[in-house]
Amino acid sequence: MAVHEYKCPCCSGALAFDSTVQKMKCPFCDTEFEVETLKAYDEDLQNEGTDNLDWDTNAGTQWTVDEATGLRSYVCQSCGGEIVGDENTAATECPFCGNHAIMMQQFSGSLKPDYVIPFKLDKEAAKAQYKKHLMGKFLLPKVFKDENHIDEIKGIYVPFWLFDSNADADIRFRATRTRSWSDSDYNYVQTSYFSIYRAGYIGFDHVPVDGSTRMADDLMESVEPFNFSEAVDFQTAYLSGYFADKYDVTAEDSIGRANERIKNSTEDAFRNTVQGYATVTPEYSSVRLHDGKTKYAFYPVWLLNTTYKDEKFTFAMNGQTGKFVGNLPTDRGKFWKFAGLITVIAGAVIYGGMWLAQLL
Amino acid sequence: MTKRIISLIFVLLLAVSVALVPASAETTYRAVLDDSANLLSTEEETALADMIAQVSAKNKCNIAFVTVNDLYGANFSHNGTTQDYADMYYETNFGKNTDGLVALLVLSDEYGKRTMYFSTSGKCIKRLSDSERESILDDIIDNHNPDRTSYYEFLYAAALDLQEVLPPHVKWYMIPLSLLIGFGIAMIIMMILRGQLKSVKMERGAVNYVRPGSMNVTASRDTYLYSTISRTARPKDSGGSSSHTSSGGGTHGGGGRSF
Repeated sequence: MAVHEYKCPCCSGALAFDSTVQKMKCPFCDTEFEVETLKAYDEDLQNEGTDNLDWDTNAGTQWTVDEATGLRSYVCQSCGGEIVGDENTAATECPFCGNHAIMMQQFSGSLKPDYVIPFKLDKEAAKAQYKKHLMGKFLLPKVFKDENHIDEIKGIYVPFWLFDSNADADIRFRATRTRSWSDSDYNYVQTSYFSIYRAGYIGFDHVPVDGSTRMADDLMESVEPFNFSEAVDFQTAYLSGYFADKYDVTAEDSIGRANERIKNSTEDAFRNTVQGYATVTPEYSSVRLHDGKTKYAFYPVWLLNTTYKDEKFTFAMNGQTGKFVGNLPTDRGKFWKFAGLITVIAGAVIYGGMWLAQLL
Repeated sequence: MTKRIISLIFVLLLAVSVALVPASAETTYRAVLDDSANLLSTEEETALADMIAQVSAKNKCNIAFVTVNDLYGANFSHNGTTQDYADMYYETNFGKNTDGLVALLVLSDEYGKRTMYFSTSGKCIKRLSDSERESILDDIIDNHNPDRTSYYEFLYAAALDLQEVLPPHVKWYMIPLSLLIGFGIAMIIMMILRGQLKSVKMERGAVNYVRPGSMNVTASRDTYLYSTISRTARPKDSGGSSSHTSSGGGTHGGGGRSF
């Protein structure tokens, strides 16, 4: 029988059997363990593997000649942004930088998307949502609200890479439970440590990753979620009246972000099965993806631009659900004025309360 | 907006001032000097009684300075301790839970020791906090010890110290402290308001895209490893006033020291 060395889960020192207590004892930190406990813990350690986050990335198809003839691409001479429209959609202004110097070309290259979620909400809805977005924001500068002119509203199909995958997970957590009591002189806290092991699998469908560098990633993730059940096979007809952005990040380059999100959600999902503990910290996790499939799709987004004090503000609305996002400027004067006012009032109330406690 | 805030402040001030009007304006307060141990001369008694009367009148509370040889022969019942003697002396003379205090000097207490004891009642429990009482005891025992001076100076110093501590008082550094707490509250409120302006952030996970019903836990083990116990000393001084119930049923604060 091979001699097996157990490591202390508490300090990683080598454990030795202590015959007086009939337990494994750590000579470094004096913690004692049942042999059975260590066996189970060691089994969990043996299961450790590495993450496998490989994907099959055959997304998108080539455009047919017929489809490509009807498309035009517009290149901005200022920022280099390129958008695609059908021959009936004219672009006069770059939706990314607002520049008017844009050039029309015959469309060429790139991949044809597998799916498209058609626009469900129109320009008027986007304007209405923008007005609503400015309501009830106390620190929004009044001037910004009063002069809420929008420089540009454009409906754009944003290229997204969609990732489907099954994830196998082995996750180990270190969890604690605490119990406290006290006598007349001391407060006592007993902390019990547990090793929690979870294994299982979970599936993800259509995790989107923005395939355009000109669309800010945080802005695009903020208008999520899109409901994929309303997606249809792509037809050039859906482009009529709207623009489409060409992807400039390949599926391979987008995998990193998809993996990150899938790994986080997998860990969260398994963590939620660990209950009844005061703290739960992941100690080790291995997430292995398989049956990964990638698709290429156009998702509808309304993009609104406005300028305030020479600073550009960009807002985005989900063209399917109407979710409206975009950071707004803060009225600094108002911020400090009210911070000061609250400080003085709260301070006076607290100080007054101290006097009141003395007087009553 | 500004008008609304000004009127709000006005209402607050009004509420505070209404609350401050003494509810028992008719009550009269008495000062008693009871030198049963005969430690003071006639002139000293007059001077000390004057002083105590002043403190009592200024602070609207009953005050008794009492000296006794021992705890026997009281004309009221008590459980034999210095604490209960002082508490019951107060209750017998001024009534239960009224505002006031007793400063009791016993030459031979239940342990045969000379003890100075303060028993407080009503609003005086809060006015004379535990730490303030201890610093008065420090002062009179260290600086005006009757072995070096006289019982008159000892008791007079106690009355002077009480005169300083009894008026309603909040320490000066509570002003910046209050403002600091106020600033903390302001920042929390302003950060919440500012948070309304931010709506763009990266998603953490892909929780919206989990295939329904696809999650399956195939192995699940919770293994107990070990436990540790830590202990911390309980804080002793909370800065306030501790209180107890006398054998007569009244609530009192107070404490004393043998010397």
